[in-house]
Amino acid sequence: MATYHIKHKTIYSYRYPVASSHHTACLRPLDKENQKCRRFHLRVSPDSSDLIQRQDYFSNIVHIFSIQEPHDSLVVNATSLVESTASPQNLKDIDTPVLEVRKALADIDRTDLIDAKQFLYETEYTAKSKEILDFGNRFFEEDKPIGAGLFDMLEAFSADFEFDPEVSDIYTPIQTTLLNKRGVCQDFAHLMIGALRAQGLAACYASGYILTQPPPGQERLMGADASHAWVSVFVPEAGWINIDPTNNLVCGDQHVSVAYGRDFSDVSMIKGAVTGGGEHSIDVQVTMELVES
Amino acid sequence: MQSLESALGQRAHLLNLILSDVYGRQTMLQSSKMHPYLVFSNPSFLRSCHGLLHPRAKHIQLYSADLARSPDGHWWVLSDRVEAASGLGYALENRMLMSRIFPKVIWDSDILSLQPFIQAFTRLIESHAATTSENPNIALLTPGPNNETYFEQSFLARNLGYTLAEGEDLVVRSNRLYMKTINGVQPIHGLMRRVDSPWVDPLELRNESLLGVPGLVNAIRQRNLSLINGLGSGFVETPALLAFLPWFCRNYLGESLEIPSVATWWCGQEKEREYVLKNIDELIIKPTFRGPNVRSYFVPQLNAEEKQTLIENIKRFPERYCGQEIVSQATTPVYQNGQLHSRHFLLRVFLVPTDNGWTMMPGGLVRHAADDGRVTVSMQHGGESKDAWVVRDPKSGARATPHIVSSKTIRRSRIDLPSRTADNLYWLGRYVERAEALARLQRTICNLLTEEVGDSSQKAIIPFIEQISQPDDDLDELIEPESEALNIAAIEQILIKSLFDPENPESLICNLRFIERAAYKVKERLSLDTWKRMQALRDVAHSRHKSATSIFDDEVFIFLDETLENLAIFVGNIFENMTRSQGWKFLQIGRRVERALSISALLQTGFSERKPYEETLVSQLLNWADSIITYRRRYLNTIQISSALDLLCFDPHNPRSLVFQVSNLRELLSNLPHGDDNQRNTIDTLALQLFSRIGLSDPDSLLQGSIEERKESVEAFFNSIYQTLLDLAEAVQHHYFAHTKQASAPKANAIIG
Repeated sequence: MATYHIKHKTIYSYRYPVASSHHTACLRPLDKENQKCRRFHLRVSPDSSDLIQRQDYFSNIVHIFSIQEPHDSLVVNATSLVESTASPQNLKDIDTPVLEVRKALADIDRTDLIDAKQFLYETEYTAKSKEILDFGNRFFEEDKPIGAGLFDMLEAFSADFEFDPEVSDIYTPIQTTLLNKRGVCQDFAHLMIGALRAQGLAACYASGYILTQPPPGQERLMGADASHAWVSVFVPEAGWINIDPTNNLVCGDQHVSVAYGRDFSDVSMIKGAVTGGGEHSIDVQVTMELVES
Repeated sequence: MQSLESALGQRAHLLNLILSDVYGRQTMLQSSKMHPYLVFSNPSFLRSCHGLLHPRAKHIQLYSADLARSPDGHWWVLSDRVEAASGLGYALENRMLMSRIFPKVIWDSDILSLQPFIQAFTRLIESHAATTSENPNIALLTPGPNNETYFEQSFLARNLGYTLAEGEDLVVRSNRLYMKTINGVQPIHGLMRRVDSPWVDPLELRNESLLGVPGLVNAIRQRNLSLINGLGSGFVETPALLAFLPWFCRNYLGESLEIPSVATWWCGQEKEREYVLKNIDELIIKPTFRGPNVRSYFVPQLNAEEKQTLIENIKRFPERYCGQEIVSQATTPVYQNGQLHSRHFLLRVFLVPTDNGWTMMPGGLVRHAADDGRVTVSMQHGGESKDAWVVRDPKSGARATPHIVSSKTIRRSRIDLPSRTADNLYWLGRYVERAEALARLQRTICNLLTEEVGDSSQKAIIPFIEQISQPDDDLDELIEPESEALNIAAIEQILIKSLFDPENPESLICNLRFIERAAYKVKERLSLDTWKRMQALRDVAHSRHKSATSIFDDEVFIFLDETLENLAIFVGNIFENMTRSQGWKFLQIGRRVERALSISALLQTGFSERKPYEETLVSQLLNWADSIITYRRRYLNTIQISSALDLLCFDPHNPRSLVFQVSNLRELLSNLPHGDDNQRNTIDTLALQLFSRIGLSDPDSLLQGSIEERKESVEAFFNSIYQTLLDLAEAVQHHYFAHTKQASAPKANAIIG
C-alpha cells in the first residue's frame, strides 16, 4: 500500500490574448477497487465561474469550465491525495488459452463481458493492419496461456523498443512506432493496444502517473515527473490487468490511474477550444510524492 | 397517404426507441440483441451524447426518409434521414413555385396544403425550446455558404422565421447558448441544426471542427438548450442496422414492420456473410457504417477484377460490409426537351410528432435521375426535383382555405443582426467603395497619359500615382532626371501592379476578389440581381486581366469602364432592393467610411501645394469625384481652387463631398443600437468631432497665406480628418464586431512518460 500527494500544474501561455476559452480536464484520480482518491482539488486561473464536474461515458471524472475574460495565460492546478493498494498480478498464473479468451470475447451471448467488449475494436490511434497483426501473432498462438503471451509481449517491448521523446508526437501512427521501435509511453501503449485488439483481445488505454525514483543520493525534484500512460488488458478469469510496456512491468502500487478509454483521445488530460490566442506554449509540472507506505 | 403515414410513424417511433436505448440504458447491448461491434465501433455512436437527453425525450423530432416505389406499387424505405434532414426547404420552394405558376390547377385539383405541417413543425420546435424559456429564441444552425444546400437552409430559415446562424455567430457562456449580435449577446433556446452531430462542438466532439460552438454539448446537458434533431441521431442511419429493424420491431413493439426497408445482410454474422458472398451478383455492397472514405458497390456494374477485390475484402474484414438487395424501381414521367421521358425517382417525406401521433407532410421532394435507365438519383449528377402533391380525400370534410403560401407564415425574428453578418456587410461596403475609388484613380491616370494636355500639365498625374503606389515603389523615378519629362515606363509599371497584381492586396483585382468573398458570406441577404452583378464583376476581371499588358491597350480602358459600370449597378441594386434593415446600415457605413477616407487622402495631396499644373490637377480631381458637371454648371469653365475645394469638401448637397459622407455617417451611426455599454460613447464623440471639424472650416481659411502656410493647414486638416476616420472605423469594429472571431481547438499536448 502507498499514499501519494500528486501536484499537476499545466500552464498555457498564449502569444496574443485569448478572448474566451472552453476546456475539459480529466485529472482526478479514479476511485476503484484498489485505489482511493482521498482528496482532490482543481484550481483554475483566471477564475472560472461555471466549473462543472461530471462522469464521462467510461466513468472517468471530467471537469468542464470556461473562461470568459481576456487572458494571455491559463494555469490549471490539480492536487490530489491518493491511496493505492494494488499489487502486481503474476502473469504466469493466468493460464486460459488465448483461443478461449478470444472466443469468449467474440461470443455475442457472453453479455457479462459487455464492458470489456467495447475495447475490442480498433480506433484511429490503434488502427489494424497486416504488420500490426503479424507483430501480435508472435506472442499469441491459439493454445498458449494468455498470461505467458502478455509476458512475452512485455519482454519484447523491453528488448526491442527504446524510449525516445524526440521522435514522436500524439499523432504518430502505431505503424511508425512499430517500424522505428522508438517513442514514448503513449506510443508504446497505443501500439500494444492495437496489437492486442488485432488479436481479438480487449485492451484499453490508461492515463495516470507513475512514481519515479530520483537518481541515488539526489533529492526528488519538484515538477520533474510526468504524466504516464499504459495498457489495461482484459482476461475473463483474471479481470483487468494493468501492464506498462514502457517500463516492462505489471502495474502495482507505484501507478496511479486517472482515466481509462479506448485511446488517448478519450482521456486527454486537458482539452480546450479558444478564441484568439495565436500560437501557444505549454508547460507541465508534475510532482508525485510518497506520503506513507 | 394515410397508410404511409402510419407505417412511417411506426418506423420513426422504432428508431427513437433504438436511440433512447443506445444513448440510455443500452438494454439491447446488455441482452445481446444488438451486436457490440455495431455500437462500439460505430463512428456515429457519439459517447459524449450518452445520457444527454431525458430518457423519455424523442431524439428524432423531424423524421425524413427516402422512399422508392416498386413496379407493383409498394413503397420501400431506401434510407432514413434524421441527422440533418435536408430537403424540406426545397419541397416548400417547389410548392411555392407551383402555386405561383399553376394556381388554378392546384386549386382545381384540391391539393392539400403544406402549411399545417410547417406550423405543426414550428410549434414543435418552439414548445421544445420553451422548456428553457417562455419566449424562446430559435436559430437554424448552418454549416455556412460552402455547404451545397446552403441556399435551401437560408430559404427555410427565412420561411420559418428563424435566424440563420453559423457556428461563429454563437457562443456558450455559463453553459447557455447566445447569439453574438450588434446589440450584444442574445440568448438562444432552440436550434434546428443542419450541421451533422460530430461537428457541432469542437470541445466535446470532433475537435478539428470549425462549424461548431465550443461548449454546446454541455449547454444541452445542463438543459439550457434543445436541438432538433437530437445529437447523435445519425446512429440510426447506419446502413447495417437495416438488417435488424424487422427483428427489433417484432421484439420491442410486438408488431411487424409496416413498411419494409430494403433487405439487408450484415457480413459480421456468419450465415449472412455466406449468403452475401453466394448471391453477390444481385446485390449492392455497402459499408457497415457511414463515413467520409467509404463507398457502396453496385456489384452488377463491377468488372471481374473489381469484384474479386471486393470479395477478398469482405472475407478479410467481413464486419465492415453489408449486402443489400437491388430493388427494381418504378419510374415517373418527366417532361424534358419537349418530350415525356421515364425516370427513376425517390420521394423524400417528412414527419413530425404531434398530439395525434406522427404526422406526415402531405407532399414531399421528388428527385429523379438525370437520364434514362440510371438508378442512382443525385442532384449532384444532374438529377432534378419535382413537387409531390397529395389530393384531398373528398370524404375528409370541408375544403381548406387557398393553398398558396400566405405571407402570414413569414415571421420576423426577434434577434438582432448577427455581428458576423454586420461585419461582412460593413466590409462589403468598404471594398465596393475602395474598388470604385481605385478604378477612378486609375482611369484618371490613363486619361492623363493619353490626353494631349501638354508636358507640364501631364505632371498633374503625380498626386494620383501617389495614391495608388506601394511603399516599395520609387516615386522619384517618375520624372526623368535630365529631360524632366514623365517616365512613362515607370508609371506604367506602377499602374499595372495597381491594376492586376494578385499579390498586392491593394490592387484592383484583389479588391474585386475581396468584394466577392465578402458578398459570398452574406449571399442570403443580397437579391439575385445584385448577386448577378457580383458575378459580372468577377467575369470582367477574369477575362480582361490576362489579355492586358500595356496600359495603352484598349483592354485596360474597357476593363476600368466595365468595372465602374458594374460597381455602380451593384450599389444601385443594393440601394433600390435591400430593406433598410440594420444590415443595410452597416453596408452604408462601410461605404461612407471608405469614401471619406479616399476623398481626404486625395484632397490632401491635391490641395497642399501650389503647383504649375494646378489647374489640370483640380479639373482631374473634379473628374475623379464625378463632380465636373456640377462644377461647370456653377462656375463655368474657370477653374478656381477654392470653389473646387468647396464642392469636393464642404458642399453638403454633393454626394461625393467629404461633408456629405461624414454627416451621412453620423446619422447612420446614431440609428444603431447603443446598448448600455460606455464604449459606444467613443463612436458618438468621434462622429461629432469629424462633423464639427469640417463644419467649422471653410475653403478660404485653408487656402490662405503663404505656400508653406497653406501646405501646413491643408495637411493638418485632412490628416486629422483621416486619422479620426480611422479611429471611428476602429471603434465601430470594436463595438459591433469584436466578438466575431472563431474558436479553434489547439493541438493537445503530448504526454511524455
